[in-house]
Amino acid sequence: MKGRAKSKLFSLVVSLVFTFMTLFSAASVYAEQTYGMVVFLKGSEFFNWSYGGMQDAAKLLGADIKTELRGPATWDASQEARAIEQLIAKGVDGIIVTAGDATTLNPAIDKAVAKGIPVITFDSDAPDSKRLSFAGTNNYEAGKVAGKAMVEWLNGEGEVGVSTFPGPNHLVERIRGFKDGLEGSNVKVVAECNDEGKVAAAEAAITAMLQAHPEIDAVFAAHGNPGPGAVAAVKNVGKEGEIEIMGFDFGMPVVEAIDKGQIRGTVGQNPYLMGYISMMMAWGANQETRVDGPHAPPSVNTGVRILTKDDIGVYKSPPAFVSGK
Amino acid sequence: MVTKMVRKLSEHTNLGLLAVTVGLFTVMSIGYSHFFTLYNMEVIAMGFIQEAIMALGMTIVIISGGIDLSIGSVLVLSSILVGLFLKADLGVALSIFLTLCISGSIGFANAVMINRLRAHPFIVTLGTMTAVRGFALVITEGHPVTGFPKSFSYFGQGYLLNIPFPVVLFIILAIVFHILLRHTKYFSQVYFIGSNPGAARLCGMNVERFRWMTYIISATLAGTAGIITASQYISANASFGIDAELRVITAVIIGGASLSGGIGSIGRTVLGVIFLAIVANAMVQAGVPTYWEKVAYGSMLVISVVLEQYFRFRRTGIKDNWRDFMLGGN
Repeated sequence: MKGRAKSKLFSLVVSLVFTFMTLFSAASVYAEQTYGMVVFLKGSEFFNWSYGGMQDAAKLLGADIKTELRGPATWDASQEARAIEQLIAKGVDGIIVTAGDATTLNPAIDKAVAKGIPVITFDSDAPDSKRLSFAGTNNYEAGKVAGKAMVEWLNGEGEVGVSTFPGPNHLVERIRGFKDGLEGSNVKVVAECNDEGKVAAAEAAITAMLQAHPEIDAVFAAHGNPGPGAVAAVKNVGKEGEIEIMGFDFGMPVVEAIDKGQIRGTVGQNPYLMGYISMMMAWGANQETRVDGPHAPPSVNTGVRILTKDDIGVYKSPPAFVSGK
Repeated sequence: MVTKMVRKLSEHTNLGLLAVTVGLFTVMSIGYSHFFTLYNMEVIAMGFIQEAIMALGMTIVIISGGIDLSIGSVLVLSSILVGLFLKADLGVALSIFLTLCISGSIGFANAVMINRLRAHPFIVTLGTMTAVRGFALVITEGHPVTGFPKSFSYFGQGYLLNIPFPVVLFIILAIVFHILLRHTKYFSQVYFIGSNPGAARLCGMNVERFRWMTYIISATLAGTAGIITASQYISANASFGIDAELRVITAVIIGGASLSGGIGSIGRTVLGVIFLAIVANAMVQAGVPTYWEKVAYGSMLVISVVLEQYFRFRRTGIKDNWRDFMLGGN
C-alpha cells in the first residue's frame, strides 16, 4: 500500500512536470529575435488591426522574427508598465507600445531604452519618455483631409456644425485642421457643440445645434461617438437625407450607419499601418544601418482616409484574429 | 521517511500549491535562460507587489469571515490623493500621512456600514468599490496626475540593502502580521470570530469593534499600495488597480484561506502571492500566446487544488475529505 502510494506520488510529479513542459514547449525552440507589443484593452478590434500589421511586417522580415502581444484587457496603464518590465526581463529585442496614458509608462520605457531595447510608441504617445519614435495619426492632417472631403461633398458651398468636447489636445488639433481644410471654399463652420464625448449626450447636443442653426448642411463628428448621435439628431429634426454626416473611426455603430446610408463617410485611421511601421522601425533600430538616435523621426504620420459605403466592407468583418501569437 | 515529511509539511502549508510553485520555478529555470536571473527575480517581485501588500490585509478580513472588494479603488484613490497633496506642496511626510488616514477612514466606513446595516460585506464593499473609483474619475477627469518631487520616488523605486524598498516593506509587514495573528491574544481572536461569530459574541468578544480593525487594516494597506504605485510610475491615473481585488482574493484563497472564515494564515497567503507572481512572469518568459494565458493560469490553479486534495488524503486517510476542503473545513 505504502509503495503504491509512493509510486502514485512519483507519477503525479512526473505528469505535472510534463504538463508544464508541453504548456511551454512551443516557445522553448529559441527564436533569434522577439518583439513584443504592449496594449491596453487587449482584444479590442483597433489594436488587433495593429498587431496584425506588426505580424505581417515580422513575416516579411524573416521566419526567425517572432512577435508577441501583451498587456491588460482593461485600460489600466500600470499593468502595461508591468508588461513592459516582464518583456525587458525576458530580453526581447524591441517593444512596441500604445500608452494607456501619457505619463505612467515613462519609467518602464526609459528602463527598456537604457538596456538597449528600442521602444516605439503607436496610436497613443508617451512624448516625455525616451522612446525612439511614434507611429500614429497626425490629428491636424487628419482634420485637414476631412475638411477637404467636406468641401467636395458640399460642392464648395455650405454650412457645417461640429460635434466635439473640450479638453483633449487631439480633438483641438483635428478641428484646427478641419477649418484649415475648408479654406479657399465657401464652406464654413457655423457652430460647435459639446457632446461630452458620449453618444447619448451627442444626440441632445447636436439636436439643439440643428434647431438653433437650421441652415446647417453637414455635421462633422470630431471623434468616434457623435457619429451615431448625429444620425439620431438628424432624425429628431426630420431632416433625414438633407444633412450630410461625417464620422470618425470605424467603430461598429459608425460602420452600420454608413452601410445604411445614414452616415456618408468616416475619417478612418490606420491601426494596421501603425503596427506595421512600428515593427519596421524597431527592427531597423537593431540593424547596422540604424534608424535610432538622431536618425529616428520623432513621429511618423500613418494618415487617414475617408471611408464611404464602397470601402467600408472590410471593417464589417475584420480578419480572424485567433491566438494572439 | 518521505511520507512523514510530506505529512508534516502538509500540516503547515498548502503542499499542493508549494509543489506546483517549485515545479514551475524549476521548469522555467531549466528551460529559459532569462528566467533565473537577479533582474528577473526583481521583476517578479515588483510585478505583484501591490497585490502582495494588500493580500496581507485581505487575509485578516477573510479569516474574520468578511471580504473587501474596495481595495483596488482605495489603491487608485490613494495614488491620486498623494499626488495631489504633493503637488499642493504639503511635503512628502504629511502627504503620505493624510493619504493613509483617508484610506483608513474608507475601511472604517466599510466596517460601520456592515455593522449598522447588517449588510453582507460583499454588497457594502462592492458599493464603496464603485463609488470610490467613480470619485477618482471625478477629481482627475480621466487625466493622469503627474510631476511629483524627486524625493518621493524612493518609496516605489528605491533600494534598501540592494532589495527594492516595496519588497522590504512587504517582508516587514508580513512578519509583523504573522506575529500578531499567531502570538497576540487580541489578534488571534480572529479565528474564533471568523468560524463562529455568534459564539464569539457570547464569549464576550466585541465582534463589531474587531471588524473596524480588520477593515481599517485592509484599507490602510491598500492606501500604502497606492502610494507605492504613484511613486513607482511618478504618475497616478484613475485606471490603476482595476481588478486588483480579484487578484488579491485569488492569492489569499489559493494559499488556503476559506471564504467562509476561520481558516487561513499569513504564511499561506505569502505562498499564494509568490505563486501568482511567478505565474504572471512565466507566461511572458515562456511566450505563452496571450489569449492562452488565462487558460494556463486556470489549469495551474486546478492542478494545485487537486494536489492539495491528494496530500490531505495522504495525511488524514479520509477519502471524503474533498467535501470539507471545498467547503472550507480542515
